[in-house]
Amino acid sequence: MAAGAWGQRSGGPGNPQQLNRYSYVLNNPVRGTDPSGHCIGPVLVWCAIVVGEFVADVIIPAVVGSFVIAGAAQVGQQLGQSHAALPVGEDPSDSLEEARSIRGAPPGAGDSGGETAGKRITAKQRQDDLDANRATNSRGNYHCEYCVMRIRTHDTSMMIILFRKAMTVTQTLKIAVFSVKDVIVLHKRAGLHSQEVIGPPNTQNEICGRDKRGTP
Amino acid sequence: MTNSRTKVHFTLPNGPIAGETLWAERVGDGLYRLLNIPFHVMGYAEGDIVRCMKHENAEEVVSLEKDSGNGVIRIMFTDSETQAAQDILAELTSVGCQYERASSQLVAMTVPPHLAIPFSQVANYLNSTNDDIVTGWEVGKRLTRP
Repeated sequence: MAAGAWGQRSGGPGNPQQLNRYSYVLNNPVRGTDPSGHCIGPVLVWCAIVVGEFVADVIIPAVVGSFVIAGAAQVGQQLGQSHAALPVGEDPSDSLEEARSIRGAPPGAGDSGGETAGKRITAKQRQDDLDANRATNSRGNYHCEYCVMRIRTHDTSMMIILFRKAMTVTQTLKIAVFSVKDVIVLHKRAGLHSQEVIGPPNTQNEICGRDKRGTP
Repeated sequence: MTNSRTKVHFTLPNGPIAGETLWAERVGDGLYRLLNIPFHVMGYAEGDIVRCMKHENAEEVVSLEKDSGNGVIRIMFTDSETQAAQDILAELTSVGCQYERASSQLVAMTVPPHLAIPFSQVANYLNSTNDDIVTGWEVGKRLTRP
């Protein structure tokens, strides 16, 4: 089903589009992101990551991900209870429904049948997501999209660094092969992974923290 | 001392995830304001002030100190990068929600207490979406009436 439109979008403070903070990514915060808040410019921004103490002379451009979206906040409303029936019929602001409606969705309070009406996230769906996420990076842990992009970038950049280092040290054309452990250690030495998982040992299911645009 | 960013850790003992870390800013002695939207933690939201205790060089969250009023919903898409999925996200953000994407499927969304529309419409809207686009959703934390 195509997404519908919220009602009453024109004019005045009630128009949430006037408070749209995502014009900087052309209203496409999923593909166009600025996780650190340091990138200036629209949509995907190429940032220079200066690899610090380890090899200060290597600058690698990286497209960074993650996002935060913000919009309008106008009228008080109560969200439904977690894993329980949503108290949608009790909310006084439901009177707004006549003014604001969603195309394709019943406007009446609780018309959906309550809670998630058969759309609750199942354990299998969550497990599939976890498995798919872990498969996206070399660490085997669950990372947010932003971290996955950083890890991919850093994995690549670090291999370049390691290769250059090997060339410098050995002055040979041998291709250096490093263990995963060595790569991780060198990553930390280079100060690259501020976002990576540093969880308790034997915690393979740890989720990383995420960076977020707009935070100081 | 204040406004320094750090990561705080939630232990999740009863699920497929062992823990989750979120960025937070220090607002007092042992107190931090969450800066991320939890992907898996239940009962906490961005903006909440939590009390932490030092545990193995990490700040472990032990309790909710001050409720921000924000709620959290999480949406499972078949693929959140499709245009149809992004249209849905755009609709929700246009009325005041914020989100962070955990993966190509899972999106965590903050629902502010002063949402521009009744939450019932959000629920109805998500329930009426095509199963091929939105496979499921849940409430991670309920809003607190201001």
